[in-house]
Amino acid sequence: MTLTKRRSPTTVVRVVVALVGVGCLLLTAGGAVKAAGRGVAILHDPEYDLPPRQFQADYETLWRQFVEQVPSGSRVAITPPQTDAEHWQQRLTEFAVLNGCVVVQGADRDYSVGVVQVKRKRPTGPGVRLVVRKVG
Amino acid sequence: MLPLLPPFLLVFEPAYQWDAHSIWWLHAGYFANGGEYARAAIGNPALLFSHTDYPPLASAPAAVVWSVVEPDFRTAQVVSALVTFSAIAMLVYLVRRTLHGASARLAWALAAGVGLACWSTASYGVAGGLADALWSAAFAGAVVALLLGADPLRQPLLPLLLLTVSAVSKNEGLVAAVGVAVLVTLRARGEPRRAALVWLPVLAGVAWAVLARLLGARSDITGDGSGRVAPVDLGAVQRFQLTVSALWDVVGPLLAGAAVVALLGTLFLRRQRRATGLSPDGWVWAANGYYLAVLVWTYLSGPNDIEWWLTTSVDRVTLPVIQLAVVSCAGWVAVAFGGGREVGPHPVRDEPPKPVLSGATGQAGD
Repeated sequence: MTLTKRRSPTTVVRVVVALVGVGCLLLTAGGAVKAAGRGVAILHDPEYDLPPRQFQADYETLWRQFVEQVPSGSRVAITPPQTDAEHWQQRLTEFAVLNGCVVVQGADRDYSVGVVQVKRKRPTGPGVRLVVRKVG
Repeated sequence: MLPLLPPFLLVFEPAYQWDAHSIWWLHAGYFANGGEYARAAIGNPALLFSHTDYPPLASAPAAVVWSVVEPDFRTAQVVSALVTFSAIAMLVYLVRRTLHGASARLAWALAAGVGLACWSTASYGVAGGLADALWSAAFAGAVVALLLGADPLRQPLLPLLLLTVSAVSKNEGLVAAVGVAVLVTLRARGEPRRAALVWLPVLAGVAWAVLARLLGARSDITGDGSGRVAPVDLGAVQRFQLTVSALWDVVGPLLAGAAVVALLGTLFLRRQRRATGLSPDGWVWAANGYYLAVLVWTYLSGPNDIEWWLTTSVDRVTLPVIQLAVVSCAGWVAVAFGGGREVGPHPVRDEPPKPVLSGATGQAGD
């Protein structure tokens, strides 16, 4: 005679709850795995995913030029660039605020500030240059 | 906390995230230039795109650092990331503390799992200089302490601090904090004086909202701000369908799995849950359902082009939904593995807990 041991419903539910619950936790850990992999790749490969590095080079270059050419406290109007206008309008406004300038939309301004594209000398080099025109 | 370190390596990513620059570091810039400059900037129509009505906490740490050293985006990114990481660490700690009825190893593993979920849908959010992971981790931590634990208001300082972080980091965080305050007030209806504490974070968030309005800030949600207006006005039904579809793509499978776990647990493991020292799971789901409903309503009623709006935000604003779903799962997994075990002394308590709230152990309706 063979005796079969029957599991109680509660035990079965515990197993299902544990499996599905852990499955959900593992599902949401996927983003962390992806972030870790990307972090490692960024640290090991200087040319991994170039566009973000190029953006950073552009921002740092423009910011440096902004501080050098536009005195803090000036009234600044942003000249909308021909390409990627929204992007550069917002970045230049950000640099103006960081430099303590007053961003104005009307004619009452000390400087007009814009951006022009330049050829990158190396893949992670800057691809933009600041254009500043003194008005007042 | 060790499992949280590898994904944090993304802090070495170039500082290029759009919202970090256009919103949070721009705000840090005007705060670093002093109160008078900041007041003028908040009401400046040229900064409309920057959501100057957003609360100040996510920008404040970078502003403090920039008032000492020259503004630099890499510094701002590291500072923002460290602040967000500290909120995630507090969430992990509170999950571990609340799951004291499970074995220490299991509780830590589940807490780490909840922490890792902060990178789930928007892995760039934690270390990229954005505020979404900060407020949602703080919000989830407050929910864990105030709604998952059996005796939440006994040690209220940390959860109230986290709820304040949520309320003064982003507008969604304030709305979410209101929901938690309502739920905690319901739980603690026998002790209104203690429950009133939970409205302090809401008060802080509302104070900022009023101040920003007085200074001239405008909001895209209320239709007078910087959003992208739809080229064609879609009807409410179409907006609803697009919203639900986008939400399902991001959180649907997880919510379905978590709902199965919660349903099975509620039907078969309630006694074991009580023995593990957790409150009924309905409180966490109520907080999650409330936030999800607010999210859907916001997408339906907002003036922005719905397709653009969903594409640019749904992965970030659903973070709290994911975190609360995994908090629910973690609670039930702890019950499934260790339920029925008598709860020993709480590792951080120095006296037996008092059952204060209506949903607490021994008072639950189940």
